[in-house]
Amino acid sequence: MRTDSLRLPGAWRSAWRIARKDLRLEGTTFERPLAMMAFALVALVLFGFALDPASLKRPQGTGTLAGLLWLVFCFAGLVGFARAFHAEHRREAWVVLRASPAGSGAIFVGKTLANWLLLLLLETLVIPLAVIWFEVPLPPFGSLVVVLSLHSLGLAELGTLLGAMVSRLERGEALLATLLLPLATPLVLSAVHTTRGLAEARSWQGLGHWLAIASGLDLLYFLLALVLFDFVLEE
Amino acid sequence: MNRHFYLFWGYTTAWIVFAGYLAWLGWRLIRLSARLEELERRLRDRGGAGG
Amino acid sequence: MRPRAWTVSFAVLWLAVAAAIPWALWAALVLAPEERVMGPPQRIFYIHVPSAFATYLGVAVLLAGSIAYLWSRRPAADALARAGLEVGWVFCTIVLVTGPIWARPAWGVWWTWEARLTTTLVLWLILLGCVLVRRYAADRDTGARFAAVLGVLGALDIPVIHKAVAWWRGQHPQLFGPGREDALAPPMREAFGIASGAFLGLAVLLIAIRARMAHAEVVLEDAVRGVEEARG
Repeated sequence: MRTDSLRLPGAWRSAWRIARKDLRLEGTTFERPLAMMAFALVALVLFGFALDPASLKRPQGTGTLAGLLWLVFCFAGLVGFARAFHAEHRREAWVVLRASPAGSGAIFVGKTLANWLLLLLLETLVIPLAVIWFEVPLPPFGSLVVVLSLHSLGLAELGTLLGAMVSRLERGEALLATLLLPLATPLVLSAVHTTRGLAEARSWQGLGHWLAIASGLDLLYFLLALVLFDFVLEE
Repeated sequence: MNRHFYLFWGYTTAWIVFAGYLAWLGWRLIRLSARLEELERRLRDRGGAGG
Repeated sequence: MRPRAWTVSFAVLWLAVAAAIPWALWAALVLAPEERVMGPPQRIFYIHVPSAFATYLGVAVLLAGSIAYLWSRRPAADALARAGLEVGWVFCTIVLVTGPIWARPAWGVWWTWEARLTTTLVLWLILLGCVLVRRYAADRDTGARFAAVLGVLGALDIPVIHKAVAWWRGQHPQLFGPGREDALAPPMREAFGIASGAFLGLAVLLIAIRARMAHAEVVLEDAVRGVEEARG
């Protein structure tokens, strides 16, 4: 195990480079953002006629809508996480990335950063659509940003660790949802509850402990993944 | 009587799950010993041929 | 441990469990008095909760074995992790099957999305993921490594999941803890103690058997490969 894999500041710089490389790649091919967005779109449309629209009306539908929205984010995220390491595999760039001075910690942070930003991009595109189609009552803007970033970060961390794992399994992509979603249970619970609570009450009153658990989870997953990522990348 | 129904099925299903696992363990064990015999046979063959 | 000491302790454990399981069944079905409100179905409690203890034991072994494997790469540690995982998963299944059968007469519903039920179900799913990941791996070390990573992640996630779900909702009967010492009548507590001991012993025995088997499988596999390579 390379314990110095996150030595400052070089590690953070290489992490940022890896993230930028990934985002630039997505910026030219649009492969992952398109796949994620298309999935989210289809899911939203399906919700539109699979569910009784009357049951989604305020106020009693708020909780359902918050849950649906986060389900869309989770599953669309999975579509992206499963392909997070595709570029490395397809172009045999894996060897180069591993041979580069960037340690596994830096690779993890870089990949997580890219996944996180992709997830946030997806959310900024999906939420306006959800507002138009379902009249989702939104929390105040600032708190919405906090809720989305905190919970997406945790999802991206788990998604990067497990995405790296399934990319090294044959036909492993089918396994990603089974591995990730149970582990992400507390994160999803927290995300749905804060989104719903903020949309209903429009204040943080009584939601502080969810915020604490979300930040705690982000930190816990980060530390665990930092230790465990090396074992996943190992040849 | 209805309440004994739940008691009966509570215990029965628990033992069914358990017996299922034991059966699976037994199957693994049979396979393991079959492979061991196979290995022994091969080693004997090799010993006979190669000296 | 020396082989002889292993065999002796194994035989002792085997005999103890063989005696303890019928004793536990007798204690649960005969010794314990019938609960006044719930009646006979309450006796499911004597296998439900001990199975949960056995599950936690399995998960603890999984965590220890996983860390040991990642640290040392010894096949024995992986065999232990695998045994803890499987046995824990089997007892978790028993918990999940007996729970609803108890809940139906007690609460009037088969299932409720309450903290401990939900956590147990999620734990079952996490363990399922650990079991599955090995089947997808191309080679033994990759499967063992990934299962160990998932084992560590899952085992450490469980307390957090429980805390989160408990904040979400809760109604599970709390029989233990401060101020709850008298929730069970003494013969009930005795039956519960016997059953818990018996199930934990059973879990230890099963983990030992399974770990030895898993290790034997690995050794045998290597031996077969060695013979084949020697043949050319």
